[in-house]
Amino acid sequence: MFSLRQKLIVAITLLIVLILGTAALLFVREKEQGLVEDTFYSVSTFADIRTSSIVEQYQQFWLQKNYTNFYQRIQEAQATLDAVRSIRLYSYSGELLYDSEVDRDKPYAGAPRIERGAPLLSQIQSKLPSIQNKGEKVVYMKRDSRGISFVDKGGTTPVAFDAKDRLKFVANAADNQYSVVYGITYDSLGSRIADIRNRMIVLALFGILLGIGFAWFFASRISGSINQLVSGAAIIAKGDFTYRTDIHTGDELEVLGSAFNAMAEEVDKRTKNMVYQERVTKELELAAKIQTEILPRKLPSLASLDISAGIIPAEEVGGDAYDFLEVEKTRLVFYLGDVTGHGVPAGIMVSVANAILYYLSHKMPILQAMIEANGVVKAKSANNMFMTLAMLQWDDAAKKLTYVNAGHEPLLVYSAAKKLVDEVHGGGMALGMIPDNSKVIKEMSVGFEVGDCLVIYSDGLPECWKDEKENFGMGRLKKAVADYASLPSALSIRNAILSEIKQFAGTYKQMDDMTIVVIKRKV
Amino acid sequence: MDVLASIKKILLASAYSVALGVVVAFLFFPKEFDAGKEFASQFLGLSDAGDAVLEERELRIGLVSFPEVIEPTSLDVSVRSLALQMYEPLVRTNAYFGIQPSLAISWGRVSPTIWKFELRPNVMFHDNSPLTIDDVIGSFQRAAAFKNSDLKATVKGMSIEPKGKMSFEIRTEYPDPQLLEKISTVLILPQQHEKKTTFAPVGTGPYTFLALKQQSHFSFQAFASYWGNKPAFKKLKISFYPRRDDREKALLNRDVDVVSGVPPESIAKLQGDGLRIDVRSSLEVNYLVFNQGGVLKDAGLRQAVSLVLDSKTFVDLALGYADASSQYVSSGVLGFNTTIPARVFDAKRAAKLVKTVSGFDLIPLSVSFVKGQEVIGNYLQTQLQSIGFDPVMVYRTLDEFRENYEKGESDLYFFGWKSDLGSAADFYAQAVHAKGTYNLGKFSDASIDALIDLGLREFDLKKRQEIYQQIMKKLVESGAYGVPLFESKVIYASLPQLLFIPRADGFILAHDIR
Repeated sequence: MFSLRQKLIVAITLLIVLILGTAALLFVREKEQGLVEDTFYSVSTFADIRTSSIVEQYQQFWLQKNYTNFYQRIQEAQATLDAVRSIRLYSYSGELLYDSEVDRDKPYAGAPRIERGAPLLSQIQSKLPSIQNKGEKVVYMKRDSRGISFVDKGGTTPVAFDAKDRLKFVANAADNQYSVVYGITYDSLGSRIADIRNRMIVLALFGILLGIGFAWFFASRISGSINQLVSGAAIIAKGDFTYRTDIHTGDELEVLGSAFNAMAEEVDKRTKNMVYQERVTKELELAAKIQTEILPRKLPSLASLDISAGIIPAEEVGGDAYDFLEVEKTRLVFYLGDVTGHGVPAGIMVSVANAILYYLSHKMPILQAMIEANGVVKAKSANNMFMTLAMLQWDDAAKKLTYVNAGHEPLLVYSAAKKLVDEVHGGGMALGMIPDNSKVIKEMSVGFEVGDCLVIYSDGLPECWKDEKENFGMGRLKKAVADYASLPSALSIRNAILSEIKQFAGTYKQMDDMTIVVIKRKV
Repeated sequence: MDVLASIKKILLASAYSVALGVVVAFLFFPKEFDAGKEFASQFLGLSDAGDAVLEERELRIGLVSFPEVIEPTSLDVSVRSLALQMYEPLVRTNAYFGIQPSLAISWGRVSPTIWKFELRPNVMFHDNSPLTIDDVIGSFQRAAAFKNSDLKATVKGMSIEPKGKMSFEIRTEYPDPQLLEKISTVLILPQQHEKKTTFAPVGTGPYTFLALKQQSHFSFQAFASYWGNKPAFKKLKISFYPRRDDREKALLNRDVDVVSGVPPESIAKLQGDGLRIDVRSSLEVNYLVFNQGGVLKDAGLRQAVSLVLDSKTFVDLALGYADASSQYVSSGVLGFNTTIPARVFDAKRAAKLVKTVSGFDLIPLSVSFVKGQEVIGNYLQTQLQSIGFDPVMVYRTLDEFRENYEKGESDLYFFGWKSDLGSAADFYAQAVHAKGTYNLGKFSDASIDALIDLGLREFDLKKRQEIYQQIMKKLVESGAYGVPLFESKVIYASLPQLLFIPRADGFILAHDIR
């Protein structure tokens, strides 16, 4: 697998090579054509200027056998233009009299070298200077104020010819006797083009190096950021949600980095929430379990009383509890309590209070039991944990109901006779608030006739909210008790009251447990 | 691993930076790039300071005779061949006598007899002393006054006057169109060597003297501070092979790279062995000079001598590597006259002419040669004897030869003239003119002298050529000067991979070989 960096480097480098290569090719070709054209003009001008002096020197030196002198002058002439490879002198009849490449400074000694080939012979014999290109095309030239024009042998018909074509030679007639033919070489042009080509190659190399550098730089920025994100993802996957990327590229990568960090933070938060929720849920489950276990499994069955009780726990289990204790055959103690707070701590306190009250109720009157229970709760619970408690005792033999209240909601007693609901405030102070509550609680009798209905409830009932602004309230609760107290059974009264409250609340979240005990006197 | 990765990154980054730097320098700072490249080459020991010397191996040149001393004012071929590797003139000639700047970078004629020269700055001698005008003056003075100088006639009448730190004037006795060619023969040496007889060779040339092995070879090495383009070969060895067989053997064994004086009979074998053969005119014409005061003052006898010598024989003796000559300069030299016909060979007529003078007596004739020319001497002897002369061939050393002709003791002198400057001017001035140093036979013709004086002052090349051709015609037609015999050729052999172009003057310059 190729890394992003490698791919970027290759891609950018290839692109640069392609662009530079194409530009170089075009440039070199243009340059080459330009140089070829320059060569044409240089050589034809050279030929125009030099031809007559070459013939003159030939006559003065070569024919006088002063070969060295003549060759020296030929060399000097050729030195002025490196495109001239050779200088050949011909007679009008086509005999090669001198060839600078072959003869140099020695006279030719052999059979006459006669040029019989048509194009060259025509050129030698023409009065017009002429050129032959590599493709052996021959054109003649006319020079005037407008420059050089290419014509046919007759000098009248224009002939198409591209001065950018490479030439073999230029022929100039000196006079009626001699012509000089200049062989052309493009070696120096070749070396100049090679020079340019080399420069282009080095330029391409420069481009490649730059490309590699840029690609490396940008790839590093990108892949560095990506690597950070990859590493971050791996770290987060291992559970370390504190990792944050540090990307400041000023582009989409920085946006991605910020999004990653936001995601990590969100994941961190949610995970913590989830953990908390899980812990809370576990706590709530435990609390619910505790609550379920301390609630009486079976309600007492008395001839004189129809008893019904129930809890609708809130999501976060509160500290409501009730119990029915048949302390003696004819004495029934029952209470409904509400511990401050929620969850397991409240559940534990309820459990403790339940145990204490169970024990104390069997040992002493309810007032004393409340006083003793207060002491224990105060001593063994957290400073901020209290329990409101409404404790009652029914003496079935005396048909007498007594009541002790420790800061709990007032009882609601429906008088069948009056058809009215009465709030019976017990006063007192919640258990656990002060070390000794003996001075603040009292035992009181509550009139409870046949047909009367007693409702003990937790504050979850009147404080059941339908929205942020309105709760069920005591008014409605008393009315509900009044409305339903005449129902035949405690259970139906209980269900009707709870049903009305539930209807009132609608879908609004239940904030606290709703605990209710309904007792109807039958006989 | 992190450390390794870091090192790898650093190395890659460094390599990238260096590559980018080199490319940027090449593209945008070419001069600095070339300078840096040169510096790096020197630093790495790939080249000496300045332009690179290409070949580490030694260039080996083979010549014929071992010189006694390396004397800058000598025109002896062997001596000059060595001297030209180490010394330089103010202007030099290229392979075809073209004048080029050397130690003088510019010159011009400010008046008919005054030439102004600009000396090249920053030129060093091999002993690292700088070249000054005093060295130029000293060199010309040595050329004029040193007892063994062959340049006395060349520089006669020249005087040098400094005109600043680096410019000077050369004044001549008369307007001299050949001044540049003449001063191209004057090699520049340090002023302190001007009057010395022996000294270690110290010049400004591309090679410095290293060592010599007597009768064997001379060794040189490239001069690191040479002002011009460095030679292609760092080392040079010039060996001498007096015997023809040795030259052939040295070539076949590849003991030498370039040899001049290849025996004609070795050509086929050497070509078969893959060596390249070049043949050039030596620009030297060999001829007989009549002693004007001897027995040959008789025109008929002179004509007889000319008629009895068959030019073709000389060509045959040279195995075809010579041309019959009917005039005193070689073809290719300014002054050669194409209208002069070939010399006639007619032994019968020659004998008649001799008989007319002597009847049946043999006419004694002394002929003076320099040693080594016995083959020619034998032919001459045979031919002269056949028509009634009693020739005595004497083979002398160079000094003896000189003394002999100065005293006018022989009737005939076998001589040769090499037109080093590509012109007949020096032959006319030194060998024909009545005042000429090498006018062996004391020839004198006022009309010819007048033409010579005229030609020596004529700047127009065409007119000068016409005058020289006219002189040649008169000289040959008079028949009084001597008998031109043949012009020899020089045969060179060289390794095909070398770029070697034989010079018209016959010297082999190592600096020109690539």
